Amino acid sequence: MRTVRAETLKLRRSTAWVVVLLLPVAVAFMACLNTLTSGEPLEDGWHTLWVRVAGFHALFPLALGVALLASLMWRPEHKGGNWNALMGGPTTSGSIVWAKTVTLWLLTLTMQAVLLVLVVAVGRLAFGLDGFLPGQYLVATVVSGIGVLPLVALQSALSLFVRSFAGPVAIALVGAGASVVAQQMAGDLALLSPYSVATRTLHLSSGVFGDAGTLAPGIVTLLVGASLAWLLVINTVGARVLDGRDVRV
Amino acid sequence: MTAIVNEFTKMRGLRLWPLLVAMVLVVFGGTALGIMSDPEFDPGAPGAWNHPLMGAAMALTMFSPLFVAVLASRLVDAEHLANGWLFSATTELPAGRLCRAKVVALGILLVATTGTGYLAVPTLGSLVGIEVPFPLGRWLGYGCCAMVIAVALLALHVLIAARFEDQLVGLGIGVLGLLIAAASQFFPTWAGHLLPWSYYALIIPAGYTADALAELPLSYPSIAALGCVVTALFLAATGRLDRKEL
Repeated sequence: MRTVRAETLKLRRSTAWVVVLLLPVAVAFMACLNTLTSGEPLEDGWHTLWVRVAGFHALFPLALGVALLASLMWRPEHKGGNWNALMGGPTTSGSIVWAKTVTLWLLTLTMQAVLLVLVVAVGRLAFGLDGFLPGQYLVATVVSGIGVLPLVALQSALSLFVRSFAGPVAIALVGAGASVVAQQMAGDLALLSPYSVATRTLHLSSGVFGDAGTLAPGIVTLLVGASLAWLLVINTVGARVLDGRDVRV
Repeated sequence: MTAIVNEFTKMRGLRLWPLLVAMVLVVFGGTALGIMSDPEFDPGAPGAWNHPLMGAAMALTMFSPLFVAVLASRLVDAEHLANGWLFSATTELPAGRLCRAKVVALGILLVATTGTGYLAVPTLGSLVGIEVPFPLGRWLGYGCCAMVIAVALLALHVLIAARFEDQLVGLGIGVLGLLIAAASQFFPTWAGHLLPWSYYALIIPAGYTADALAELPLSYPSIAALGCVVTALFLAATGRLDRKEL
């Protein structure tokens, strides 16, 4: 808990909040602008809006946002003598890895919540949709809170071991793109990629990219199970490898 | 010339080759997806080459903006560390000239990488047995236009990375550029001329019209204008950097 608290304190003066707030705004703005400039109404109301905003967000922007946040979070540790201070301190490697993962996860959850609020706001204010977002998409958002765990753990691990700020972001772009292709071709086998798990959970019940269009307990269980399995594997391996690392001279 | 060679030497330590290989694979993957995503793809149909062309175009549109931002960020960041700008200036290489050398060096790398990936269109198209003659002119035309946009974005990102030491700025603009490039396909034509990233929408080689994939015209004059304007602005900006006191 203390390590998580220490990590959240570091966020106070961080530019991570710019990514958390600006990225969902950019995605929602683009989707809104496209719909307005095309002159065509939202054929299926809330469903079409959800697919255009959250469906697109799940393809690339989510992975890139998490990658940027992870790079920002690990950047102070790679500067100056901070890495040696981190490795020389009393905190175990496992604590460091899990604390960073939890903190990054909290930032990602905030980003998802901002996106959800924006979808509702855009739907009501920009397009005058009646009612509220269908319950299945609220469930999909909650499940995606678990579904992003593999992506969060992987990007945190990449930013831990790769000192470059831009490198993990480039890896996220390629990974997300490859996962989209894999989902088209291999269906649920694509869940072997952490990027696909995150994308798939946000596409739940949307009927796009291989989704059946319904919220079946089977697929939800599979996604939650895959998320937790990936999280455990990535963080265990990450902590083990970090244990074997030494200070930098 | 020496400055450009120096930039290639700096790139050796930056381990850019995985990124370059990934870019080639991405274009190949996108081209393959363009062929395989349509269940009614017919290698003997007159418009068969539109499928791999569109796949390659989508891959370049989606990946080039951030790919360029990462390349520029990596190479320029080397100067922000340990007073690289000041050191170069003392060796008769002021900041503006250094930026120009970086754009030339990275531009050569970008064109070579993207060009290699773009060979996926004739390669994969031949492998799946497309029978109609290869549209060499249109393939070259789209390729040249895409390279002009990519190099224009590269120039922009080198200037951004030189101005802002925080890589979040350059990469954040790259991510926003990716969103603009993806979304601009649905913009009206006039809006496609507003931002550099939206020019990708003006050169989409094929699109669905009345449920069939048809050839679309490429906007050569718009791309030529973009190239001229960005070149002029880049030279003006780097000229100013040359005279700026460090």
